Amino acid sequence: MYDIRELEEAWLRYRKKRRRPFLIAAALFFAFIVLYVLEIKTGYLTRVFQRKGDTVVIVDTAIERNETFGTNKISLERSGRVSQIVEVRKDESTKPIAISKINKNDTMVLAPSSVDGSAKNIVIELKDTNDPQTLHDLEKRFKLSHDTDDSLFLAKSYYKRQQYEKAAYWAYQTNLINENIEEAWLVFVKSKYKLGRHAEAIKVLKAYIDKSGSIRAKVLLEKMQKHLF
Amino acid sequence: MKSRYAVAKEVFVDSVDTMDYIELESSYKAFKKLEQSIEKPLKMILLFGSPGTGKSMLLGRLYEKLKDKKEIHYFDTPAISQKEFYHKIFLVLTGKELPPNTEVNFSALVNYCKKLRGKREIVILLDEAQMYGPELMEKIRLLSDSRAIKFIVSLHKTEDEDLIAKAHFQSRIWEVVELKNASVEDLATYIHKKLLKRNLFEIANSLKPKHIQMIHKFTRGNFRECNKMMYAIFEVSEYYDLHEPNKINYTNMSRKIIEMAAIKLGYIHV
Repeated sequence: MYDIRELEEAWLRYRKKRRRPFLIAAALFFAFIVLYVLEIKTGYLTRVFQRKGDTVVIVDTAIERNETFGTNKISLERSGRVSQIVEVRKDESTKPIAISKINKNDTMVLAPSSVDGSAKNIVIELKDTNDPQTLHDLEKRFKLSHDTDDSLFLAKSYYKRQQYEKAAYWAYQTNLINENIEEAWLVFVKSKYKLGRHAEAIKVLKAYIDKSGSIRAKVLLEKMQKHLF
Repeated sequence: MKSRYAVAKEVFVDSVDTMDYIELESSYKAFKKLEQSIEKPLKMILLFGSPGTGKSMLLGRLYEKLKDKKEIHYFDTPAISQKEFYHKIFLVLTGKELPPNTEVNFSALVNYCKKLRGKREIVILLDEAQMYGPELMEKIRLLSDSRAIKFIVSLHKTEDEDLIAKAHFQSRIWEVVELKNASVEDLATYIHKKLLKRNLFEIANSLKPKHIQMIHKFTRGNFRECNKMMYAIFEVSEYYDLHEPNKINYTNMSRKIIEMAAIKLGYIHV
């Protein structure tokens, strides 16, 4: 009679050995799936493979397709940093631009893709919305530029940080320069509402609806009247 | 209590017993070819194949079938010396033992054979002929040239000494019957018929085609290897049957048991 225990142990070792290639294949397949999903959801791989040394090349597909910007704020994720905001300074020409590279000091240089040779580099800065210093810098810059993009960005940022007084202030500043920016109206109204000044908020909102007929504003009004906001 | 697998493993104890002969398609063809060759005016017939392909069994079967019809003799073990071989031939030719202290003169033996030409037709089955050596093989050739004795020579295919390649054998009138390893189908028939001969239906049914495939893969269809493998499989099964019956499936042979047997026999190196 054989030593069955010894044989069983040998067989277990053999089974382990036989399964190894399948396990490796399964692990590789799983890793591939994870990377694929990651790529689909975040475009992570595209960014990783486009990084060259200390210089990072980021290509926004919307920009590559030469589409005009719906917004001048682009969310980016960078290795070792939390969510950042790339702020693109308003380009008067509204010509499609291609982002060429981000330098080591986090300054992104954009080159307008104009064909008339009048291309000039635009400097944009990576802003960390969690950094109060960034907002402070923006406030200083607004005093010089009076750019509604800056003021609206400040309004939204403060609203996000639940600093509603400041949010209302910057929304108002935006409105002073350009009263047709709906986002500024809405941030102002929502901030007032959050501060407990419901009647004032609803009054301003109604005035804006009368002026613009905005559907978004109407939806917001309804929510506020039903105390669903 | 005796396990059912104890009986099964005994079925596969390797032996050349013509009672255990299993008729397979390939062996049937070889047998028929050999039978027909004997009727032809050939001096030597070569039965050729790797060890464990069933050469001895085929010779034994042929002997059993023809012993009452023909003057046929089966040398199942090779003679250790030329002297012993001559004695054996002397006995075949004369039916008498050699008197003590006498030796057979080969030339006289050949001359005696020549005189028998046309009067007697003797068939000698020589098993394991690769052990005779070139000198004795040459003598066998000379005896066969007398046309009184027809030799059926069974030999292994060896790398060192491929007798077929030797010119003096190639020039003779030969019929070559080559036995090869069994196909998967033949092996399945072999295993099942062996078990069914002992009424082991349940065990035979527990061996499915996938198991036969595995056994064929390990043994490469060699009957001797297959016997060893089946013995080992039933040895392991016997242990589980007696000591850990919860680990054995009586209706479907476990792959694990086959692999354990393969490990035991060195087919699998862990």
